[in-house]
Amino acid sequence: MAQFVRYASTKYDVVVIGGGPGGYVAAIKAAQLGYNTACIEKRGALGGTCLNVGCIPSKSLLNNSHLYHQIKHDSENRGIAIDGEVSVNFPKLMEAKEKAVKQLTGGIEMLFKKNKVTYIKGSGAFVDEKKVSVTPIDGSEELELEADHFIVATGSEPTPFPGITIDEERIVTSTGVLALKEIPKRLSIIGGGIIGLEMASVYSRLGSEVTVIEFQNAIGAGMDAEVAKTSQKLLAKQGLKFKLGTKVVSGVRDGEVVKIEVEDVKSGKKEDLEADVLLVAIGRRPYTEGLALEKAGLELDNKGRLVIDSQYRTKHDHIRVIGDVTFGPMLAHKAEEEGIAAAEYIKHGHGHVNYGNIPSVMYTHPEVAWVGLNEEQLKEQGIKYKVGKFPFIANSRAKTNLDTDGFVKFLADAETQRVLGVHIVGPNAGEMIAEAGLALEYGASTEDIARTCHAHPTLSEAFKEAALSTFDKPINF
Amino acid sequence: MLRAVYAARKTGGSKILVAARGLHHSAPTMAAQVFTMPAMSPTMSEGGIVSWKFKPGEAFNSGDVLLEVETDKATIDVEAVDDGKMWEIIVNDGAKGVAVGEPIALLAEPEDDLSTLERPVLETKATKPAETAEAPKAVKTEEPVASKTPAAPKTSGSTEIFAQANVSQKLSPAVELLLHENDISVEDALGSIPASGPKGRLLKGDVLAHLGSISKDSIIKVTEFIKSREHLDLSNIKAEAAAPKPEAKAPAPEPVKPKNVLTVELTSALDGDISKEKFKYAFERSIEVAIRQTYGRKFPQYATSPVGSSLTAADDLFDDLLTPSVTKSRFEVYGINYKFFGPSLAAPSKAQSIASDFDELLGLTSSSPAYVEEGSAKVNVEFKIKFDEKLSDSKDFVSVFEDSLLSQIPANKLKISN
Repeated sequence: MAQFVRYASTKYDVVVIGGGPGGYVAAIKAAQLGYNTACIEKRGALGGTCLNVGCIPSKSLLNNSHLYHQIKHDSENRGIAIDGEVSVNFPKLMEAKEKAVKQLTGGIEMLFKKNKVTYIKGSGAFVDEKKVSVTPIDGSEELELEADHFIVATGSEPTPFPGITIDEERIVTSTGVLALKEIPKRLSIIGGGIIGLEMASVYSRLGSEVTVIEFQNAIGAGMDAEVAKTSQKLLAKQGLKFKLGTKVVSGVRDGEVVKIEVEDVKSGKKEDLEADVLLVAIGRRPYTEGLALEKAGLELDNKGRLVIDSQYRTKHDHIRVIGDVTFGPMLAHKAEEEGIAAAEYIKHGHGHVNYGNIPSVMYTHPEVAWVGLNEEQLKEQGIKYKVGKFPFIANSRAKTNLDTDGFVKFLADAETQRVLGVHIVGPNAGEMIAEAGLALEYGASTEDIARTCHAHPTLSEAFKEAALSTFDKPINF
Repeated sequence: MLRAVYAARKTGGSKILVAARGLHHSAPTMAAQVFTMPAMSPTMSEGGIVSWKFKPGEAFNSGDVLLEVETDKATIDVEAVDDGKMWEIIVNDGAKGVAVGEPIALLAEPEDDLSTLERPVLETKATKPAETAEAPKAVKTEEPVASKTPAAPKTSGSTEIFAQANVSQKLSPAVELLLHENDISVEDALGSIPASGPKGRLLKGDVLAHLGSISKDSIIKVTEFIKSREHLDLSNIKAEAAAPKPEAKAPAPEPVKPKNVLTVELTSALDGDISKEKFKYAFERSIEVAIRQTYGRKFPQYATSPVGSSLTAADDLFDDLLTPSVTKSRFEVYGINYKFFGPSLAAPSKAQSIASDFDELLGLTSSSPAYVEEGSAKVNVEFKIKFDEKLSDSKDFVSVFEDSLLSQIPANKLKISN
């Protein structure tokens, strides 16, 4: 009966393929706009990579490992005496992570019910440009859905490293590293991007010896160079080892260890490394497997991204594509914005995503967050800019927290003083960056921020002071 | 001639006029339209006026010949894009060497009362041929300053950056203070300072420029840059490497950079009585019309400029397409390749004139979906569009062209690859 009710209708106004942050948001929005909407998801849980094997579980591990590390190494000088041993219960740590994931994915299912989105657990494949067939994950009979509009939001998967075989046990992707059975003694990571550095932080705090191997000469791909350098210094202080400008030649599992051969890009000098776990985190690539794109005549570009226009339309106006599987930064919040916009395009013919104002956050400690342009981009464009910086060491709240690493950095147009980019490395940077996003969206000048009252004592005062020092002098530094 | 009229109508002329007037945001009363010397080709820099066909006060309809323009090559009729009235002729019959973009007449909407119409301020600066792309915009968007509001600042060439300040906004602290320091009331500021912020927000930079402390160009530069970052960068999509390159089939007449060459393919069903030749003829006509419509939509001058009289023979027309004169500045269509297949085609019926067949074909496309019935003969057409990637708007042109073509031919989709 339940089956009947759920699958009674096979003709929908909107069918969303993929239930990640892009897809589920698009489905809910479409339903709210009055469309009879279905969402197809084959994982068995909603929320996509982000909720199941990405942002959310990693944040659980990051937060709890940080607490552990702080209790263990940073209690005495705060006046907290610990009698006895402080240790990690790794299975319990993983359990806490899974609990958070379960609650959140279940929450989306509730939201689907509330908004009357039909949730179809199965993998969808195009039959033609008007139909998709769904193979349900419970093994029941295949069904066919027809729809006036499709939104493809099938996301991305970790990019494999050529020549390295992933077994998700010793050689792992971001998915496997979030579900290790034990804390590895030695963890090597290929890729000094956000995923690599967050996982490096987690296991380094839990006691692993972590080596980050990065081909480029800087970590944190896309970060402002000064911010990247500062955060590298701070992470190195925590015990992370960096091998920059280093190429991985091979990585092979040998029993219970992984043997890695690396080569210095400049000198060509080779070196052999050994690790208990090797994490491959060199990026992500669009995921369209099993979608039968060719049946709908959809096109991919040379990087496997689905080709769209500025309204997310493929060559068929009624098939739209959002999120990681198409162009733009691979970020959950970018996909969400596009999900809303895609539904609104269907309904009203217009939607809004400001691609110049999409924040990025790295949840290491201290956190790193930025939005807008960095110095390198402004120089490249020949835009004259002014820099305003304020260090957390001069901020009263950071001082009382004994957490004073990092700074806030503003980049503003030299003439108009309009804010062009904000880069923060420091405690709570990820929360603070929201204020910068608001400033960008409204075209604020640095003076506007400096003249806005910020509560005392808060970390956000550093934000205000940095804005102030862009066009004038800071008060507390 | 019939075709040219059609083209002018299909361009959505009323839209252009409405759009042009819509930009006159600082003039509350209706002002006349400045009609400038049209560019008959991208290379034309000046021309002569042979004769005006309407006198001041006379009404004309869309498609009527307004005047004859003389270029170094030919004398060409210029048609009206939309219904209207002639208000004043600025440059009279017989004038020679009138620069493209120079105002030559003032036009009014059919319902306008000529006695109360505002006279727009004329920008007489002639444009050089190299600037033809900018010329229509600069002239069309020049604010006709109403005599009652002489304080309205000039924002020539940057209308897209600046907008009338949103009067219901809460001013930001920096702006408020700056106005106060300079004894400018909020009302004055919102009424007279053009705003560069999102949705008409007045920014600190706008006030600084108003006060003369910074130059307006710095606002334009940074705002243009910010705006350019607001959209997904879809300008440089490269096709999947694994896909076979269709370009290999057709020989390209010059070294082809895959980046700026699109291969367009479409399949269309043919009715029994459409011969191969007729289809070819009609299709090439459609391309011609689409090109003109594209330019017309972008540059209203083009909408009013019929292409020379060599359009009667299909071969000539095809040659015209190959020569870049009409479209060189933005995009170029070439390498048209037909493949006919399906049931044998009926012999061309010579009794009917070609032109009326084409109209019939057009009629069929808009009204009869039976045209794509199965079993009928089909044609597969492939051609290439080369666009100038250095010009930021050329992609835009191509997409307008594609839409326009699609609206005319009996195919429901274009397969585009590069």
